[in-house]
Amino acid sequence: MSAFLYTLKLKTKLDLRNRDILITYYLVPILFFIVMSLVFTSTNPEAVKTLISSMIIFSTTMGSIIGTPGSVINYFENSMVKTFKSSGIPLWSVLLSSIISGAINLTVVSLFIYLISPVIYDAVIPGNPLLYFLKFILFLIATLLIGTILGIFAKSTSKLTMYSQIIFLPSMLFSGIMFPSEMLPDFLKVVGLFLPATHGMRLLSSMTFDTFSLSIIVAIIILSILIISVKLKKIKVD
Amino acid sequence: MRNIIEVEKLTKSYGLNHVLKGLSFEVRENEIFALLGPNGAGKTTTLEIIEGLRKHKDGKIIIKGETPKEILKNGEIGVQLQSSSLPPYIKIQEAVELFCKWKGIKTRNDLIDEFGLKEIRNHVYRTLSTGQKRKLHLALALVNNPKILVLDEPTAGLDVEGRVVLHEKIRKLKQKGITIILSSHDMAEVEKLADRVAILLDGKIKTIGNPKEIINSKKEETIISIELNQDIDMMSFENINFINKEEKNYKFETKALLKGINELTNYLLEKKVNIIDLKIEHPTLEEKFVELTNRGEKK
Repeated sequence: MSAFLYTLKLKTKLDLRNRDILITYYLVPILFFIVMSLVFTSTNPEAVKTLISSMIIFSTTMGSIIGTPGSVINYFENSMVKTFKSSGIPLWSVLLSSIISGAINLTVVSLFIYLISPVIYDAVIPGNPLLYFLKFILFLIATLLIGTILGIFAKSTSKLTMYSQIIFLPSMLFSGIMFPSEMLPDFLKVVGLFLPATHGMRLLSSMTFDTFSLSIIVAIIILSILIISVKLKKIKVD
Repeated sequence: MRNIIEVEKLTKSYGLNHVLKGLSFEVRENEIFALLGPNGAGKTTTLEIIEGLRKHKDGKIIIKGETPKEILKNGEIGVQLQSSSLPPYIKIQEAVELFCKWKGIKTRNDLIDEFGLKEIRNHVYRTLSTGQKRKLHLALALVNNPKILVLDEPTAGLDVEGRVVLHEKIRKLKQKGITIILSSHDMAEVEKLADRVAILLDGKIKTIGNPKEIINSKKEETIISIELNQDIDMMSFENINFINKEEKNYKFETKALLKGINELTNYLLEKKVNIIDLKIEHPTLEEKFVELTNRGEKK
């Protein structure tokens, strides 16, 4: 256990030294939050009701789908896998510490948004903070696991960028973060249903648990854990 | 000396490419054993099978009575890979701590000192030079005090000074009782370091033995070049053969160096000719290697 805790502590430190991680976990989400919140609240006064949720969904999706895979892919490069395997450092420890480190960083950003939005933009604080936090954690885990899958399956960083964008861009447009999904044509509403961000937005925007979205998020978590476990067992040196 | 690693009729293929075709050799306790061979001969594959990183197809490999997988699990083998890598932002101190934690031992700061990394212990991996990285990976391979150390191209990419330092380290490790198995492209390095050498060619052992034995099995003889103060008629003697002449430079070959030089100098004294320069070129492992690999290619 102490070896894993050291790995986790170290991974958190390494992430904070990594400029690319800082940009995707902190800089871009915070800049987007500052600028877009101003735009949303000035163009649509009703936006204050969902501002916190939409900004948290954006930050979490950005960090998990763009940032996390970039960090994971480095650790699953052949020479690094060989180094860890030959030294008896299990790959699961590296992966799990990447996910937990990502979760810590993205929770910090989300907490910042949660606390600052009401002060600067008069955003409405969601009721029942504990339930809200629980729903946020489920969404965070689901997206981090998807990001991890992208990182361990992508063969190169250029392919990874493409895969990440395939999920990230539609998530921004069709999940209800930028504008209500009711405004979208039926076809795009269906596309939105395949995106975790849509279900995250539904979960965080509702006062209770949206059962359909909750089951989708839980299914994503279970399926992702299965995929990652199988992949970890099958990883060979090339 | 007893055998610590026994490899018997090892085969390995990557698709249709048969890399190892029945490789057999043994490594003795506390020796430096080197695998030499051209690119694609199967050196790295052989080492990675020993390290437990790759599975072989057929054959047997026993390390201290155990399989490579068991040895890898027990951490009884130290490994420096040809292409070792660490997270770009990890510091030297942190890397040593990480490896020690997973071995369940206290941080080996002594290795940081021993490998001359103390001054740069807080430098991150991506800023280290090739030599510093090699030293770090060698230190990391030793955190668990392994009895067997596998080094894949340990000095590749190093400058002369870096090679000398690392050669000294490898010799000291042998003195401490560690068995070392290494692969290298550097013939001179292997000639200096190794107790025994196996030359791999086309997935098989072409020759195996002490570097001196291998060199002495070489067809060619010692070459002697002399520069004289004047032009004379040259000839062969009983123990030294005249090869050719370029202006006042004469080339000979001999199997009996002292006798050959004696016969040659007596003849020059008789002719009252002075030697301006004399060079003796001993056969090298590199020449033997080239001879063997050329023969292999012709086949």
